[in-house]
Amino acid sequence: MMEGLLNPQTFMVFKVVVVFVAVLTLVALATWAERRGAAFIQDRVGPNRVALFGKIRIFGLGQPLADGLKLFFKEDVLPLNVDRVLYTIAPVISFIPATMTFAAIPFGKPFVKNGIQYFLSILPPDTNIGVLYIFALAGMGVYGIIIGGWASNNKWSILGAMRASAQVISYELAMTLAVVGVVISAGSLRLDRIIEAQNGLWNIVPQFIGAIVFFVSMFAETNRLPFDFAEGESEIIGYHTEYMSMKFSMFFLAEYANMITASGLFVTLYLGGWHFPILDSTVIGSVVAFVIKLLFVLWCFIWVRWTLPRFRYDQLMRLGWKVMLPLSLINLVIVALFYAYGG
Amino acid sequence: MALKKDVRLNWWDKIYLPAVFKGMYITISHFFKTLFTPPSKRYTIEYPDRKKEDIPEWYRGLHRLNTYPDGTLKCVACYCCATACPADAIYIEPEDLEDFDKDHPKEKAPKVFQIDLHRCIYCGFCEEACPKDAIVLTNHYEIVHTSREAGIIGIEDLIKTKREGGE
Amino acid sequence: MITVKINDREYQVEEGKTILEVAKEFGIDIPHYCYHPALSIAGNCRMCLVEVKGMPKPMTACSTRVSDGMEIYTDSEIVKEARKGVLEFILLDHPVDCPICDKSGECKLQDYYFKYSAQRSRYEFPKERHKVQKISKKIYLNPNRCVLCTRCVRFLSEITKTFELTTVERGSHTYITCVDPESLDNNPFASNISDICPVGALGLNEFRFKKRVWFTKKVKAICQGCSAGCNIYVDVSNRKQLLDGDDDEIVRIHTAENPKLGQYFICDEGRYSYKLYNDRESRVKVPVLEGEEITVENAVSLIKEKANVRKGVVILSPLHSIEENYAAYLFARERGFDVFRPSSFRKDLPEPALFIEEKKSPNDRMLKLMKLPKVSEIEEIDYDFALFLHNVGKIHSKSEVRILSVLKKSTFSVVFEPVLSEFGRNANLVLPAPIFIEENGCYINAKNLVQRSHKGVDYMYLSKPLWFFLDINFKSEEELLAVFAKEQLNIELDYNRLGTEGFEL
Ligand code: SF4
Ligand code: SF4
Ligand code: SF4
Ligand code: SF4
Ligand code: FES
Repeated sequence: MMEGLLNPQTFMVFKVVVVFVAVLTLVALATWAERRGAAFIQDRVGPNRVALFGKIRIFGLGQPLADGLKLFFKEDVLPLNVDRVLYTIAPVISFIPATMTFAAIPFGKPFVKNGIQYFLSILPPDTNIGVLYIFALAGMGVYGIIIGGWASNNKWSILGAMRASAQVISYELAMTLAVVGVVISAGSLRLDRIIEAQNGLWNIVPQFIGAIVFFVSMFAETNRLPFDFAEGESEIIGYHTEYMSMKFSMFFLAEYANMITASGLFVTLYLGGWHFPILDSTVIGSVVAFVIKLLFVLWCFIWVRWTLPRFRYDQLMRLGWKVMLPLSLINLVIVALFYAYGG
Repeated sequence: MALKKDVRLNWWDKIYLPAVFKGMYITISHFFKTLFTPPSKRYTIEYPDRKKEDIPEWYRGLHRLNTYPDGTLKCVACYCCATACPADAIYIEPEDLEDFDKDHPKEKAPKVFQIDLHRCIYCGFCEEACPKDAIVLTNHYEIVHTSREAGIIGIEDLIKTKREGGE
Repeated sequence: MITVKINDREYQVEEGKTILEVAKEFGIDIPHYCYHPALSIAGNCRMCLVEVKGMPKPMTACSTRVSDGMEIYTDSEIVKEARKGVLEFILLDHPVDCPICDKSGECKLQDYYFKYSAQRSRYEFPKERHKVQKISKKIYLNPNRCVLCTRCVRFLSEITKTFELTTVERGSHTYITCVDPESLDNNPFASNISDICPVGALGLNEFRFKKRVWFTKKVKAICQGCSAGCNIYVDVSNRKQLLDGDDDEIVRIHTAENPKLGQYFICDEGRYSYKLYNDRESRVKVPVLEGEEITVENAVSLIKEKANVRKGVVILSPLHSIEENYAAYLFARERGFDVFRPSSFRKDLPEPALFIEEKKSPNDRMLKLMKLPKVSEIEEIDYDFALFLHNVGKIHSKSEVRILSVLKKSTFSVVFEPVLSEFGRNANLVLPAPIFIEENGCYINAKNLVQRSHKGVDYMYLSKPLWFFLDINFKSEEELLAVFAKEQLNIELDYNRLGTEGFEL
């Protein structure tokens, strides 16, 4: 029966649904992990009292559900003097690219059935612009933040938004230049090629500097601590000061979805994608390998957040322009020289 | 005058990354430490399920009105505690004991002595102010009521508060 | 005039005065217990010791008269030592139960101890104990706390001449006792001994354990009981406490001395009159029009409208202050209304009467000075508009009848009073008046002394001064007083000029 259903069309639908559901589930899990992880790092207990049927406590796993319900049922107030249209679409603008980006990432080994090749990524891997597509969409995300901050008609919001945009522009440069190294080594913009090129030796080893630059920029791109200038709860509250209820949760979801996408990208570009010794011999195994790597990078996000304090704004800019950008250029030159004369 | 500290970083410090990794090592070690500590041994005492056993004696909890061995109140309704109370939590109505006897030379006693436990901030000033050691704060910390009125407790309840560490 | 030197400064003083009086005049504080300006000099407490140059020992300031060229030191080492010693002796057999002593907070022994002694007791033996007694219906005596200054004994023998208290036994066993409780009950001045007792030995039964004095606010006011115009302190509870509802309640009245008036005591009737003012239930809380409560603004505009007639009358009141009366007078003058004054209520005087006046109203003199006609001279009583000022207290019964008929006959009648009376019941509109403690007000007493009574608490409920209801353009009571003084007495007068002792006309 399964065989009958397995044709490129149904498989596509299947992939979309699974990926979307998986990402959203992961978002929920990430919020849980964030809070529990933070608690444990700080020798606390964390949320653990949400219980199924009021009895079974399942380590607080019910918390994201409860939070979601709470946010859902909160009154949605439209503050006075906001730009109604922009105010409403801003969360949507930031949420959609966050989930769309994942479409390009191959999360498993392609397989052949009945003579047809099936790919485990939503977009067909022969879209020649895989990497470009991702960066294009990632760049979109910050629009949501800027529009949200602007439409709120609140000085704290606009401050947060302005800082976020400056930061994203600065770090996108370094990030993209770092990725150019990866593209050179694979000789293609296609993500499946990049993964293929890493068979045996993950990019993180030869392009260590690039990996570091990418990793750091990733934090800046997703507005995560130590670079959470868009939010900055302790000083300016951030671009979503005026948001509440589902609009707020959309921003919230976008932040975590962005984290997941960024993790997926890091895994694809530097950690060999779904490659893993032995495990990647089967299709399922390769998906598992990918998910494990992704979860690890995701955990790094949380881990770093609860380790490092926030940078000062000037420090952030200095780091971006004076350290990250030169480093990525150095990485690029090394890789280019290597491929021009060495390999 | 601002004090400027001259900090010189060597190249190792300037990379930052070693320090970052060191920090991350510390946080993750705490993570695993807490993860593998059974809940009963963690710092956090999950209150309604578990209770703190060793409340120190100097803890400032529920008030107690002390009595002489024969059961008469030590309190003489002098208002010293009410005067000292920063939260205005103490209400006293005095009574004139016209026939005081030789053993308890008391002229004045409280007819009503109420403490509003919801107003009280458990500062212990009342205990400090009392000239008769009549009011003390015990280490009973479970002070819960289901209404505002129930939080206003009078002499009968106050003398029933147990001393530190049971009794 | 002779010259004396006090603490190395020269002063010109009158001959025949004592050192203590002279020092007081120049603001030099000499502690004392037994000295009282209105009583004879006893010189038994030894608290007032000062050093006089040439004298081998310190002298009692209260009983030593100044002489020319005298050099006095009030805070030399010897004096300090002497005060310390005296206080230690007084405290030897003192119970020091300040926490339950009603004097605590205004006790001379406490004050002087902290100021001049502040040392631990070296006495190790059990202290002598007497029982606390209610020696009369009004007074209790705690002989343990007595410092044996005999002020109380002297007051009762010299001022009231009733001799109820006396000292018994000798030496350190001496104590005060009451020999005639019945006479003390009937003595109309007996309660003064609780004021003049410098410590907590004599107290009022009514104030016993009622309120700690630091929970009260002392307001200097003028007694409303009669036209003697005694200065009093009104103690108002100022305990802002959620649990305690008696905020702004008057807890007692006690003496405020006025040397200019020669008044050092008050009568018991005045002292216990505070209860009349605590009756919140029967206060007129809001303006009432024919039994209906209306807002203040409505009342103001209603008066304006109704007073727009030709034939109106305003009847002032000897029970109200100058300010309230004069506001009504100005209102009447502006409209050409008639102004009358009622006669004061006269009461039989108790025995002894001392300074008590027959007329039971604090401001009778003002209306007299204004030469207003009496209400008995009202000819036609069918006015279109009538305004009467009434207060807690009584007026002459004949005037009462007359005023009632005026109020009943008039087309529209207004009564301004704090507590609803027969007048208010017969008026169309009743305005809530403040009681004396709620407003600044001046009174002219029988001896033509203008004195000020201070505002101590906020206007209660919706009560307002009359000039507010009559919409007269004044910003404060003080302006009204100035206008009154200018127009009626032809002098410049303001609260500053009145000072603490009043202004003699
Ligand atoms: S503990 Fe402090 S706040 Fe509470 S009753 Fe005593 S003095 Fe008042
Ligand atoms: S508890 Fe102590 S301080 Fe309070 S009224 Fe009683 S004796 Fe005075
Ligand atoms: S008389 Fe004065 S010193 Fe003596 S107990 Fe009373 S307050 Fe204290
Ligand atoms: S009772 Fe008071 S006034 Fe009388 S002698 Fe004693 S201390 Fe003095
Ligand atoms: S005041 Fe002088 S001896 Fe008492």
